Amino acid sequence: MLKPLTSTEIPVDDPVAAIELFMERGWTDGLPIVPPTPALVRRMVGDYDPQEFIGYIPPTYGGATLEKLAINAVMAGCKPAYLPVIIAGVKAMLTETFNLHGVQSTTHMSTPAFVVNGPIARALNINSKAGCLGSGFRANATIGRALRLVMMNLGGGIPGETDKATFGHPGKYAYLWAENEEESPWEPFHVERGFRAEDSTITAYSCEPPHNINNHAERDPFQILYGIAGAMKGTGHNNFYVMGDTMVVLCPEHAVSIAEHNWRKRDVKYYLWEKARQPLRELKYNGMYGAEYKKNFWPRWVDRNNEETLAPIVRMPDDILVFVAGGKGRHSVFIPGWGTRAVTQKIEV
Amino acid sequence: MAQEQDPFIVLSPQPEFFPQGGVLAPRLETLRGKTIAFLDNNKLQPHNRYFALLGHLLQEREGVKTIIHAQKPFFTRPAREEVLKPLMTQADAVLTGVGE
Repeated sequence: MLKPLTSTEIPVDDPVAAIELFMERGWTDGLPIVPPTPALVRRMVGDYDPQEFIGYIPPTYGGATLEKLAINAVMAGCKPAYLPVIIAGVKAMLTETFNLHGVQSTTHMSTPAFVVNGPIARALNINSKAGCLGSGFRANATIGRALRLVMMNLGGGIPGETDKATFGHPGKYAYLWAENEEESPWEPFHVERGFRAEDSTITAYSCEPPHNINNHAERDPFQILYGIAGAMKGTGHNNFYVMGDTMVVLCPEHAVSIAEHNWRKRDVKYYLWEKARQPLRELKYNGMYGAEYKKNFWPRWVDRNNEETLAPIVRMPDDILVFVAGGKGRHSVFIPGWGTRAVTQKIEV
Repeated sequence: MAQEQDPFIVLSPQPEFFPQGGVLAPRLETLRGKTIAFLDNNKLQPHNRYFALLGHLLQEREGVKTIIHAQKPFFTRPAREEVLKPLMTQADAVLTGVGE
């Protein structure tokens, strides 16, 4: 027998009144929602137990049950088949190393981005190819939006109130794509992290918007990656000061050119880690500490008493997360992190 | 004669419950003779001066006996057990905050 839904019922005149009410109460991201009627929520929950407890969402620590995730998924416009991805995405954000409390309340613009790997990405048509970081794809847009609504409605991440972001960024509407495993010359990201190829996963990573790196000229890995390292070397983003993880998403054409020279993904990481560095004299007026730059979170081997010492963008080569995604064209992207760890969670279907 | 329409029902996306035990600690009746701790999130240098000044004022004006200064290792990381434990065992009250 199906377990009952227990969320507070709100009577309104009609669907339009529901949309307006949710706007007035600050329960949306600023866009109209699909009214979460009991029938739609029941359809979203399916065979799951609606009272299954997922966790408390910081910073206000509202209790997230599966029913509450389903309500927010309906509001976002999701199909019921998307719900397992949302559940796993929320679990990924709730691990301690992700520090969702900090992500949701910082003055920095960062927001969780999500990358889906494995067969579920193809089954749900989560776009990994042309335009995958943009608009126009239901799964990308609505799963990403549902995760944002969960952060707002259950976690209290309200812009200008608990969410203290000076700017925020457009990824706060939705920020989700899949890895282009079919066109990648290397093992998928989740396999690199110890999952089986037939597993499906979601990786949560708190970050800035993507920065485009245009390189139509080169086919040689040194030259392609030198340009990418150049973009990564920009001062002011958090990684140079806080470390944590950072991310590069290679377009298939760049990745294939690199792999044709027998470079593995690990070679890419080592090269970028070696080249994406800045002398302390270039870093010392930015970040949290400015002239007191010695407090920055660099590895011990960075000699803070020598301004010519080169600080790496992150502590270790493996802290550079490398994905392959996107369509035709020779543009890759660098996505600076907030300074914490990306978390990969298995999607249970 | 127009029929009265049934209301359209939607479900609340807001939480129905919060963590158990999330209650306020008993308030101090006085600061006189108490030990007060500051937990600095290590974000900005001026925090050190602000907490030093505040500690001084609390001792001078309110009769606070002891001030403890503690610091998170980094503002993006949670405070570790070894930082929190002395505060839990030695302080009558802890002042902390988020932001700058």
